[in-house]
Amino acid sequence: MDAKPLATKVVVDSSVVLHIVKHASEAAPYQACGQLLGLDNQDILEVTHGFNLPVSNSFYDSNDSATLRTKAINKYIGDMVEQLKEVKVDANTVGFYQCTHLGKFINHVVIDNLYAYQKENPEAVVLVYDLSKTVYASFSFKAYRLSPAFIAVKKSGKFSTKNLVEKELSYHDILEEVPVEIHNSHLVTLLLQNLSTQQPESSFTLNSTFNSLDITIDPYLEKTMESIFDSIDDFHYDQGNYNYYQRQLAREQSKISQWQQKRKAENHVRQQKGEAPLPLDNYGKLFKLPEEPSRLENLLISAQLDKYCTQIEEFGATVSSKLFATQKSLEA
Amino acid sequence: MSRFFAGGASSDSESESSSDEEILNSSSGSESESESGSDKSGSDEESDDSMFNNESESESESDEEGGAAKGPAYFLKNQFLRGGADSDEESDDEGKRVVKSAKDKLIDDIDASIKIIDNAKRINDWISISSEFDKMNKLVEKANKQYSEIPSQYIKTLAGLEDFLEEAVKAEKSAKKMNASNARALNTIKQRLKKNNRDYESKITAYRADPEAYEKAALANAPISAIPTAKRGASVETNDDLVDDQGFAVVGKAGKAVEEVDVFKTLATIIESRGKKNVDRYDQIKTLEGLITTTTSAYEIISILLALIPLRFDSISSSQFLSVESWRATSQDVTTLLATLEKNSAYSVIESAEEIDDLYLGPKSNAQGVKEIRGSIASLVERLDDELNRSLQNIDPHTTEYADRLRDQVDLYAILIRTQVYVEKYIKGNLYESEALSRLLSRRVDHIYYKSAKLIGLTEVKVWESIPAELDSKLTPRVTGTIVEGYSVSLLNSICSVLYKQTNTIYRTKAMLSHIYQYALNDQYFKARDMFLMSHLQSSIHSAESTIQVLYNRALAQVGLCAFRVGLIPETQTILQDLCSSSKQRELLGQGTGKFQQQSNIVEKQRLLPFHTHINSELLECVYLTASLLLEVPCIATAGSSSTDSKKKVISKSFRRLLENVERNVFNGPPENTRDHIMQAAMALLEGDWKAARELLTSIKIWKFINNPETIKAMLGEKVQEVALIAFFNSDVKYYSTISIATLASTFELTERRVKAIVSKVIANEDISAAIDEKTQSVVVRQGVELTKLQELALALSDKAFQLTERNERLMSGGYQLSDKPTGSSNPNNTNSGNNNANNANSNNSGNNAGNKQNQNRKPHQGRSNNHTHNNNHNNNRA
Repeated sequence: MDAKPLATKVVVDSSVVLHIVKHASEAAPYQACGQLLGLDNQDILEVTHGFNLPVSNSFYDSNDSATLRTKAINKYIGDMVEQLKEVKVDANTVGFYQCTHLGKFINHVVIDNLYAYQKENPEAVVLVYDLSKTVYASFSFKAYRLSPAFIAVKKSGKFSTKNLVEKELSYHDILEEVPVEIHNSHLVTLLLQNLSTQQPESSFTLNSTFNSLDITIDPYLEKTMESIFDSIDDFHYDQGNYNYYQRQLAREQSKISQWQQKRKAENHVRQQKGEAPLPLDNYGKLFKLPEEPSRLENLLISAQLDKYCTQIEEFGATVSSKLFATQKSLEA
Repeated sequence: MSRFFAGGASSDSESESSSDEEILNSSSGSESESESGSDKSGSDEESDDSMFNNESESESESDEEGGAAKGPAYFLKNQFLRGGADSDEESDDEGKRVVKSAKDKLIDDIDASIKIIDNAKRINDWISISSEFDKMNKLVEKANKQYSEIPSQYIKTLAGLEDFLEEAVKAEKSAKKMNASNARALNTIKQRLKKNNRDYESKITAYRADPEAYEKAALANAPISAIPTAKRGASVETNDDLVDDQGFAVVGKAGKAVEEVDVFKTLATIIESRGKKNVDRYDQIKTLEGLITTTTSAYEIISILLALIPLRFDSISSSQFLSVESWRATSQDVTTLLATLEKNSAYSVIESAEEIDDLYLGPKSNAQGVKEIRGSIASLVERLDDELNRSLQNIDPHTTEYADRLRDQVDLYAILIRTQVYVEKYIKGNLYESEALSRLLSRRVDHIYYKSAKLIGLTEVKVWESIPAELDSKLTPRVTGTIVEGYSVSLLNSICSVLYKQTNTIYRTKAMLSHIYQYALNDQYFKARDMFLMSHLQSSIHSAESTIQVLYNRALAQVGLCAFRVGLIPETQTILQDLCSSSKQRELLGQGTGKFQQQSNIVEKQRLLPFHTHINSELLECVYLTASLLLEVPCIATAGSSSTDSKKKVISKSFRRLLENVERNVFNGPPENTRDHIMQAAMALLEGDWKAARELLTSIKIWKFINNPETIKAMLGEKVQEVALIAFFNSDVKYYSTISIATLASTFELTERRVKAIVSKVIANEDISAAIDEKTQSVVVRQGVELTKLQELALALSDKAFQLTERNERLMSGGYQLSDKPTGSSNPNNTNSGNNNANNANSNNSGNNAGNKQNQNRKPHQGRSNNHTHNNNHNNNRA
């Protein structure tokens, strides 16, 4: 796990992509996920096969991060890989795929799961397929990997501010995006070529769709904004916790400083009497400082918020060009 | 003197005053020789009658007295008796004075008890037997200890009692006609006698064997004691006879000089016994009442009254209240006191006077020749007021008794004014410097502030009529005949002007609140409101006494009602909001205790206001709901038409809840109570049927409890029309492109001017987007100006972002300073946590609030990203 991942690019076989898309649309509104198999070939991670994981309905309702790695699922994965090995498929686990809606995937479950995968195989990635985004905007298929900084902090187990600062981890650097390339087998390329030459006159070809000209922008923005609302509420909640901790801490600190003042005065008297001064720093036994709440939640929510905002920004970029185009055509 | 008289009196009326005697006897444990001597001599003298005769007489007498224990007849008799006994004593004392030993005196007492027991036996009065028996035992014990002898007559009585008891028990078994307390007394004496007789068993058997021999033997031992026993009763009878003949005459002439001394002697004893236990206050009251009729000197009357009035108040325990009779007697006493003081300007009762050393001499005259007596009429009057209040609290307000009791208020009010006049007379300098005066004035305000102007005027005139013509007050001049308008307010003004200058805040607060209440009652809303606001009471009221808080709430409620009467609906709603939406409304107004605390304590109950001062809580609710209705209907109409929640602001939660309840009903029957009327009116109004709504609202019966119900109803009708128009505009106008004002005016039966005004207001509030076209006299509605959902969301988001920034700033300020961290290097973990937040401040420069929604969306993100980058930089630098 300490080894740095070598792969700088993920090459996904088109059959895997299609499998994921199919699984996602079948499982909707549940968010499907599954296992990815493939090879790590130097600096390229090849994903050649994937299979579904049975997902319980409570998967997204519960906050139990271990859901994906329950015994039953682990056994299922083991059996599946064994059987796939027999039909000569690459039996090397290279990560998992996760379907999502509007970029809502940065949460405990995914992060913990990814961490588990990366612990076994540093090259492991998560392939995120965004169903809603594909519908509203454009095809969204991305690969992510946990950053070394995050792994380091996670390993230490403490998401305290000190730790975050030392490891230079901010919400920007939880995930690293890995470029994805979709690879078609030669046979598929051939078939596609064939198809396009067979029907040259048809107005409907595989390459020409008018989806990208769609300018219904409101639903997408509305949904994203509603998600932002949720995240902000979560953020407020977390902030409230931290506020509480701060107040507790300040109270304890003032108690300690009072105690120290008293001790100092005492020491002063003792010094005049010629006795040895009492130690100043053994307040730890007397006072218990409150524990700092984990900053992980805050990090994740921040990252999620960031994700939403970027999403809107990206969407805005594409949509405004469309709008300008529409305006021109209307004027004409 | 009192002891002496009392002794005489009690021997006369054995059956009911035995307890009196006991007390008096115990209080005068070591009676003087002379007293008993005179007692004795009296009985010696008049012992001609045969015992037999005497006994039968006393029996009939005690019977008759048992019937009329407290009536005036009894009182008179005592009166006479006192006079008689008095004269008796005087004449006797002068003649012969027999010196007797303490032992003889003791034996006399025992004889007296035996006599009483004998008498009581005849009428089967076991209660007095029981008490007398106890007393006798005590005396005998004393005799036994001191002189080691047991009087023979005691043994005789014991034996007799035993026999009698057996008979009585038998009789009781055969026919149960004894009342409960008597039967109880019988049982106790049965047990006690058994126990007691065990000690004297030998002697009793000796007596039983040969009563005469025993008695003779005993007689030889105590030659004197036995004889008077037989004669004792006779003296009582003759006393009575004496009274009939010469009772008054003696007091009139010969008694004068001696009498006065005795008045003060009695007074002194009574004053001393104040606050002590086991003192019969009724008896003392009677004594004093008797004294008053016998004296003529002003000083005496004043002194007696000053002792008598508190005594009357003392005669009840703190949880009870004075009965109507004793209250009236007390109020009569106070009036007498005032009248005496008014007539005799040589005396004055002043709180600051010096304590009189010698009651006999009376106070010395001061520089002006006025003799000052220490005392406080104001306090007495206050107490009188309290008692009336308490009795009003305890009487069921729906009885005629309550109404009768209320009449006493006028008397009390007259006393208040008279006292005020009296107190004013002795105030040097400014009126407001006297605490007593302000106390009285405060009471007076309490009496008038809740009354209507007319009632106040009538009361004032009536009261001043009852006050002697030569009296007048500087502060509140005498009024006669007709009352000018606004008198009540000016009266309150002049009273409160004194109270406002008091240093004690309670007076000021009370005066202020009462003043506000009165203003509100007279429909002077703006004055009341301004006073309320200027008083700044709302900031301090929560720490005030509960009575003041109640007054505050009352004033608030009254101001709310006033606003309604004046037609200021939104003001009414805001003022009454807190009061009416509270579930503890009754408690807040001091009109009842909590529903769920049935066993609420007495103190709490005493705080309640008497019924006639209550604010009609149903009317209050009705007014509040009506005001809410008029405000809520346009709101609900708006909310119903727009698709989002953003415009749904709730004005009155309780109204909404009620309305929801009604809407949920499958079937709504015809309205029964006030609430039903209002709710159905709301439903009708929401449907646009303003005529039905008006009908429903004006048919509410409770309006008759408000002043000028017709004007209120007319006002309501108008408001309903206006509200209907606004509601129509808010909900339905988007379906029109233009509406002519004339149509609107005819639909809602309003004048075109009014319609225009209302429409303009709605447009100005930006509730709807429209314009008035002056040329065609119509409203032109602009279409499609509603915000899209996305726009609304963007607005909401900008709110959220703003909130986030604020929260971040607060988080930052919560962090502790790095410079004075007490933990030092030993705990870097904590120091850093503070550090993190300290940096948030700089970062939250919540940038450009440009209308662009993307910018808005970015804002939280930017704020946050800045946070973290700053944070990191800073920490790196530190490292």
